[in-house]
Amino acid sequence: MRALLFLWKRLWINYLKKALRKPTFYIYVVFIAFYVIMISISLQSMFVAPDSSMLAMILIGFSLLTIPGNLNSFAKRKGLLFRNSDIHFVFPSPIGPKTILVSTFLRTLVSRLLMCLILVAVGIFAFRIEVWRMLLYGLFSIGFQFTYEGCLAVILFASEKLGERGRKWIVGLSYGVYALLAVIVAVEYFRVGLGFQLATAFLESEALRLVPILGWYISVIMMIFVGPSVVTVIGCICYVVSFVLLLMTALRMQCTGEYYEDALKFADDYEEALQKQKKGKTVVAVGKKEKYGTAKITWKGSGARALFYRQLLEYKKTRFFIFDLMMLLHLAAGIIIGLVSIFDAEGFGEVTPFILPLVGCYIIFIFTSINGKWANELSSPYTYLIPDNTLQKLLCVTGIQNIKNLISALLLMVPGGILIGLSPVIIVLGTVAYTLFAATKLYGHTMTEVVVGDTLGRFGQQMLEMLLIGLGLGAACLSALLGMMVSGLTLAYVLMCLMLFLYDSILITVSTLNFYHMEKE
Amino acid sequence: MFKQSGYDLHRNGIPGVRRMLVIGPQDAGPGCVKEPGKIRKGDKKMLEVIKVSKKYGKTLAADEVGFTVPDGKVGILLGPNGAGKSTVIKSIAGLLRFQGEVRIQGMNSKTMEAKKVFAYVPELPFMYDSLTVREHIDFITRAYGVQATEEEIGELFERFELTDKQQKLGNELSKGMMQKVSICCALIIKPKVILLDEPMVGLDPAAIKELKKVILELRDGGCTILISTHMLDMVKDLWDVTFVMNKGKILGTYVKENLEDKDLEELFFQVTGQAEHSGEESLHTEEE
Repeated sequence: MRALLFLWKRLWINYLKKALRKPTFYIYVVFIAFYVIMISISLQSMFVAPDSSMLAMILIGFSLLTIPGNLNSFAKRKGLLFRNSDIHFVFPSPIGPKTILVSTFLRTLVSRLLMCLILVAVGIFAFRIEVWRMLLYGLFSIGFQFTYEGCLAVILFASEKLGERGRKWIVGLSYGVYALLAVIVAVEYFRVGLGFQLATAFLESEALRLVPILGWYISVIMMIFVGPSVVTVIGCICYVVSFVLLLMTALRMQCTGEYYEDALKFADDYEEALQKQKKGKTVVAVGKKEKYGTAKITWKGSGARALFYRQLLEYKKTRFFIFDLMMLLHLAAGIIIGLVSIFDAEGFGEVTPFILPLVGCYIIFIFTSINGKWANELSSPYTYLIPDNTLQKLLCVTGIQNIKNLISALLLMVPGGILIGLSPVIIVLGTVAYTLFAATKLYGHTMTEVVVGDTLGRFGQQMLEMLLIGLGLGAACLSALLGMMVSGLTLAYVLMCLMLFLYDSILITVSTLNFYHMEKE
Repeated sequence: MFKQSGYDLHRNGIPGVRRMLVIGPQDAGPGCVKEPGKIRKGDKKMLEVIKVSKKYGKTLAADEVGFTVPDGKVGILLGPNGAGKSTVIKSIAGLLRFQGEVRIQGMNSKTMEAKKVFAYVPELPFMYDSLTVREHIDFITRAYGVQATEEEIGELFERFELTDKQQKLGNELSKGMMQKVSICCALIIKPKVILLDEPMVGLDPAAIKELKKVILELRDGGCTILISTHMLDMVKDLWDVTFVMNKGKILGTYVKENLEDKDLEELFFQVTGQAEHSGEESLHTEEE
């Protein structure tokens, strides 16, 4: 353990030293401090009287997400973060596999402590809860609950008797907990009906406090923040008994390191996900590999077109071709907005004719990231080696992404536009405007790569990207406003499209410089 | 039945096996020993791999693999891509679940005593991003509970040209540098058994030369060495015993002194049935 403590200490010290040398670290600190202060101030204004039950509800809500999820991932021998460097240096060393497990779990202690400190501060200053109560919560959270989860992790990871079937059972059990929660929600729904009161009734439900592990934790939270009741006391006793049993089992359990194989795979998957994240791509689930089938295409043309057709071939081999979840989100957004405008008497007011492109902009701005096969092209040497002009390369590389954006635009604008009652011309113009704005984000990214490259890091890149997108959006809004003032809705949409087209053309022109050299400034 | 070192060629159906010119007991060819587990009477078994089997789903990656590298010998694990070498190597290093047993100095490889005398250099080195080169060494000495003097560490860094890189962080190193650090970490524990998986990949010529020297020094000091590699030229001067693998099985075990002038590369192509080029096809088609 001493060696692992040394490792942990050195990693943190060096990490902090390195972080302190980067200006982005200070920006992050200021940003987080500002965020915490603002939240505290807004919460403080919300709660003039002490409100410990509200904080209890928040903590319970949070535990509903984390505890069954942790149980599930530990049973699958996932959820503990082993890195490839651990596999290289720690696993073959004469350090006990259980010690390695415990130390890996302990790595989460720092973030847990930080989280706990913030919660205690928020509880005291924002919710005005008694200091002793918050300190008791802090002690329970770090002293007991953290150990409880650690024991669960050790038992589920280290157990070599559980076998594949046993693990599947526990995974099933974690889903069973969710099913039980759904039953409790259903019962409470019939009791109190739909609305905010359902959430309160569910979180305060006595049945919830008797759900194994999760419910026992909730009982302790209720005991600390609300006070005792018969069910709460029973839940607390169950918590204490299970704590002792789990601790004893974890301490006595034999472990020869069978989990190393799973950790090896997880470390590989995690490393891959990390690399993707570094490139700004969204990682939905670590370790989920995309399955490819067989497909054929007819290759047409030469030069940069080969890049387009190669992407097309890759997409054809995937299960859903170029269609993805984001497109479903667009469809859902379009239908919901349309229905709201029909059934809500107030609707969206004067914004109604622009509501769909505005929501579209929000989705692009917040949800979409640099995914898609085109993003890989920037790191492929072939993109730079293929003998063709740079504009052609850029357009071919991003061609399918633009088609995907057009499909998303159609899914948002057509059903939404029909339900709102927009004219076909406006629906078409709205579709064009959305596609052009999505292109602004896309070419904003490629241009950022040209302008700043790696000099400002990922954070700096994102800031510049946001600035470029913001400028494009601002210009489009001003054009729409001008159009509305001069003529009406159609001119507003036409001017918006024209402005976005011009703006995108500038971004594309600068972005073509990206395809001369692989090396960025 | 036509058997070579426990390998049932008929059952496993390698194309053209009956016509293959096999070096082994059947044709009284030199070098091949009948039982992989037995090299010679009196040899201490420092590294024993006993009937190791490993399945990935339905794929059998290692099928009752067994071999022994005696005291102070250099063993080479050869095999084409997908032969199962990495599976065997990772099993020996204790990174995989497997059936069978691996013994180091007579101890089960999973015991702490066995791990203390065992060093492993993986094919791909992975450094801790925010640990310096020197701190990697410091961690390893603590983890293995070994005493390494400043002179010893300095000498090791000197040999692998890492002296001026000691304060470099893991993520500031090139692949070759990482490999050198990985080798130094393995050597600093003064192992009795060392496992090197493709150790020369990414190394510059000077480092390869140094590594070869180190391997011979270790061997002369009584250390047992197992190297898995494709770079046959690099190990032709080093090996004492070679294990040729294909399709998850050991095809043959060959002792250098029994093979006289036989080249390792030639042996590899003969045993695996892979022809380097058309000219060598004749070796496999004696009756055609």
